[in-house]
Amino acid sequence: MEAEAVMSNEVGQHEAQGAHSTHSTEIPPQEVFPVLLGTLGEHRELNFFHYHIVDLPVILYDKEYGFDIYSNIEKMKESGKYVLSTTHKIVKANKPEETPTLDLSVTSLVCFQWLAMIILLVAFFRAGRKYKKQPLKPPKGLQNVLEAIFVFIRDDVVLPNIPSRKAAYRLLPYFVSLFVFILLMNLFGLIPGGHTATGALGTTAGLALTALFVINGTAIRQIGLKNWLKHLLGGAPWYLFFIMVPIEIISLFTKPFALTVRLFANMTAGHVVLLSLVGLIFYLKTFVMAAVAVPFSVFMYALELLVAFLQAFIFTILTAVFTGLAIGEHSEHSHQIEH
Amino acid sequence: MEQNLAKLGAYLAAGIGAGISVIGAGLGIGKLASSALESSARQPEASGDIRTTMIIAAALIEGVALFSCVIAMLLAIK
Amino acid sequence: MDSLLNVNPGLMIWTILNFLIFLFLLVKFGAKPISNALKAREDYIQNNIQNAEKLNQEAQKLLAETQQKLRDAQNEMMAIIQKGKQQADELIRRATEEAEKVRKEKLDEAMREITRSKESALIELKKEVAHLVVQATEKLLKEKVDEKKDLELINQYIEQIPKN
Repeated sequence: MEAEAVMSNEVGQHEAQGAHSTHSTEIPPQEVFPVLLGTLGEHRELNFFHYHIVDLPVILYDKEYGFDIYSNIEKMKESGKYVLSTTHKIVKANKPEETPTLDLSVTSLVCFQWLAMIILLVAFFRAGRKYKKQPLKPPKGLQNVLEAIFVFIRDDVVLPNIPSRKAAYRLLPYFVSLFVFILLMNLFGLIPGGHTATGALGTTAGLALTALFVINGTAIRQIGLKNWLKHLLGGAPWYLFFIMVPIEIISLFTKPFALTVRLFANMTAGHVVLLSLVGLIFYLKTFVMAAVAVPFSVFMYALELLVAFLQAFIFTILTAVFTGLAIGEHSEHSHQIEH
Repeated sequence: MEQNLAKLGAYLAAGIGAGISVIGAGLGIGKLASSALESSARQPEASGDIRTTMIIAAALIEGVALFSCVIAMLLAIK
Repeated sequence: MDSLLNVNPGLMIWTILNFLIFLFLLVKFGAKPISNALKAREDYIQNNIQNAEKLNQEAQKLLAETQQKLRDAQNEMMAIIQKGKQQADELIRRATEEAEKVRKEKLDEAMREITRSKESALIELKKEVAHLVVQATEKLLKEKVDEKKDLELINQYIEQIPKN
């Protein structure tokens, strides 16, 4: 990961929070780990190594004040409505206990989502144009990669797991975009200076929420509302409904919850291990530690690369599996017709 | 004093809980991998399917382990 | 560290929004063309395979036809050769027969010639003998008078002359 660069970068940031003094590289050993792990969260500005790129806009909504948009955090302070608390939280200026109802600020993670989106859209747009021009030519380069992903998702993820072929083809774009979106966000965390957007619960929860809607929306559309409600009984006799229905409803929500936590924890855990390994060097202040930490963190980095692909795949395939389960055997007949 | 004790208990619980959950997940994934290897050695033509199923099952096991790690983290930052 | 486990609703809303926009644009500009193109290409390949199969079948048929033709031609050739051989045999046979006939004729003629010459020779001989006899008789007559006895003798002689 960003290793030393992040280290010194974050050091500068933390020490000079608010005061904007540019360098102070000495931090006490006990501060090393909190500072390093602080890079994992969201930030209100984008930094690349030592360079401060941009302050991100702050968008706040409050029942009392309505919508407020500031171009950066300083502007927000100048407005006098909100201030930063001692724990770097945005609070109301007149009531220091209260935070705004909704903080819709563009954070570094949102920026990295946008980055992933833009790159993917450009790639897909270019590939799509090539396909429109000459659909019968064998694919080349970037087009080949996208087609491989597309065919992989279609043949190995969607079609084997979703029993209805029609629904599978309708959901295919969703699964493709889910996979590439998560994959690119995961990979951005491995580029020095990047942030892992999937390493925050907000992102993964948002994706899992779409998965929840896709799973149940598809099920209702395929088997009808009545059958879907019957599924809630879990196949038990009707008089057991007061046990089964709560359980089934809970299981309805645990699936997306498990997706959320799995992706988040996988992406975060690797980064925590990496940062801790690098942090050990600064904590112990010896170069001997580097001899141990560097090879091991290279190994961890390779593992992270694997995990980035694996978790994107797992999120996608589990969503597909859950969708298939939610549709259940009710569409068996349509399945048989296709064969 | 009492607060310190509570903190101590939380840290202890976090560490022990994370450790136990890691043992469980390790055993589970190990067993899964061993039987997957065995079956794909017995039927090499089905190894693709077995691999996919193994990854899914491993992810489910790992998910449970990660739940407990998150709980441990919650305890630790209490 | 604290912020790591917080679910930031703002980020969640942004994520859903971003993802939906991404999905929409991807469907519009990426997935549809790729999906269509893949289908088109699959159809194209399928068609090509079918075409190739059809062509292959045609080629097989053509090959079979050609082989049949070749076989026919060979048969015809064999028949012609057979016929030629027969004709040649016939010719040879006829020629042999002719030759045989000619030879026989020649032989017969020779035979006839021989018989004729033999006969003429016999006649000549008889004449000669008669002549000799007459001469002998004349000589005898000069010596003997007994005509009766003589004639008897002569006849005896003549009888004794071999016929051939």
